[in-house]
Amino acid sequence: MDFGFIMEAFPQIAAAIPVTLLMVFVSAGIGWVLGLAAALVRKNRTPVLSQILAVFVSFMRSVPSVIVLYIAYYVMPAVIYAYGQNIGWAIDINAVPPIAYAIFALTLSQAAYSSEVFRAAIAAVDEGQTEAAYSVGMTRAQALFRIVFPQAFATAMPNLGGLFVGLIKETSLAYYVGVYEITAVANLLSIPKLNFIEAYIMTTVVYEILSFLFNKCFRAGESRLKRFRANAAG
Amino acid sequence: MDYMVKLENIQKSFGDNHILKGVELNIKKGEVVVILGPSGSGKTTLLRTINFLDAADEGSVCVNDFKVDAKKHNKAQVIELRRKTAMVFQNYNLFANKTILENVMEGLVTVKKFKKSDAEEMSRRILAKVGLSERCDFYPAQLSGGQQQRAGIARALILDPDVILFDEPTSALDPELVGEVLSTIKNVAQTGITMIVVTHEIAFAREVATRVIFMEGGKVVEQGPPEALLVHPKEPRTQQFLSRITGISESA
Ligand SMILES: Nc1ncnc2c1ncn2[C@@H]1O[C@H](COP(=O)(O)OP(=O)(O)OP(=O)(O)O)[C@@H](O)[C@H]1O
Ligand SMILES: [Mg+2]
Repeated sequence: MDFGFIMEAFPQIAAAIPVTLLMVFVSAGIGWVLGLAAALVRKNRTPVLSQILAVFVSFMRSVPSVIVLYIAYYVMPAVIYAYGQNIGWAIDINAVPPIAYAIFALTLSQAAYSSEVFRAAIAAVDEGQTEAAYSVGMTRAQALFRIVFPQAFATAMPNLGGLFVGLIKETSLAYYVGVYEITAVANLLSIPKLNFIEAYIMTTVVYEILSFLFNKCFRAGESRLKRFRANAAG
Repeated sequence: MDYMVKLENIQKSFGDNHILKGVELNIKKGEVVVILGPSGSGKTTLLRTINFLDAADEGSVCVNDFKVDAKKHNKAQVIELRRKTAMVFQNYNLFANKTILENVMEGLVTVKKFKKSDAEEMSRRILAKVGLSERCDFYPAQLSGGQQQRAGIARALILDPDVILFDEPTSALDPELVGEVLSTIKNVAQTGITMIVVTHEIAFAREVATRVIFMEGGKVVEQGPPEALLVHPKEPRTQQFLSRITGISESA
């Protein structure tokens, strides 16, 4: 074990944590909002759109994330470029940083997976809750935001926590398209003197700590959201 | 108009199932109308067409001079109609994520835009009336069925609706809890508010109702004052139904 390498490399690996977290927060933030919207569209059985979403979700769930990332990285620029030419606008594809493609791919996958989580959680809320909300005169939006979502989120929380921790690990794929996140930095630093074991240990420790911390956050959120369930004290 | 609730030719089908076959009903302000009828006769469906939880296919609903045509209604009309009515559900349907106090406040704050402090004061007062002062900060899951249903009644009452719809408010309750809920409903009836109550509690109907309606097969078969309908029903179908649920044959 090369402790000198560890002492030297660890700060640089830690310095890449914000890059990883940036991808995590943006993809989860946008992806989950899209996922929730998709879940509602599918719940309402909105014609056409809900079928398209069903196909999209099953596609995203069956294709390996790394393929989605490659599609985003190699195919999208060509599409954007062609579109730019179409509207007579020269878009400089090289100006788009790789992290944008990584975030794009991760966001889509989060949207797909979270839409299934939200769909199940919303379906688990008794229809009588919505009817009671309507009976006191609430609009559809009021019933959703004040009554249905708070209950659905409590149900969804454990699965969202799992999704989030999985996402932290998945950001390491961004290494393949040249994003300098935790895994990339550790790997690049390990190459000159072949310190692969040390690098793997350090990345493992960093991911482990991040997962542990966010797991705790979700647990806390879950028990807060679930305080209305039976035996919650009081 | 002199009627608080006016239903005209209410028709409703679920798929090929013709459930309501032209129900007509005129209810005056302050009337307590009890609806009886066998299971599947469309009692719940009728209540739900009144506040458009299920929109009727044909006919019209008029509450306190606000008329909505089933065939051409829009969202705004439905909301307006729902704000003139309130409903007490068989399974209580209290908002599970809100405390008892918040359940009662919800309509005032979210729908009627009352100030929170005013809404809270009014809600505490009404919860005291139904005997739930001590339970304001509990969640529904922490209460007995009887307590939940009394909270459900408070949630409906506080909106000061033109009519309250009760759908078998005691049929999900343990027998020893039925009494407390029925006496709460009786107190509500004495305030003069218009009510439509679907129930199988004959004694309650006899004591509290101003009119009893017997429904079968999606139609009103017979109606009249409680004594007349419950003790001396004219229609054979009403007689059969009553003897079945009271367990004694009236004609024997
Ligand atoms: N959403 C629905 N979809 C299909 N059929 C329905 C629906 N709601 C009710 N029905 C049918 O309509 C008929 C009347 O139902 P309804 O609940 O109005 O009867 P009810 O008189 O309230 O009976 P009960 O005394 O059992 O509550 C039943 O045959 C029921 O199966
Ligand atoms: Mg019923």
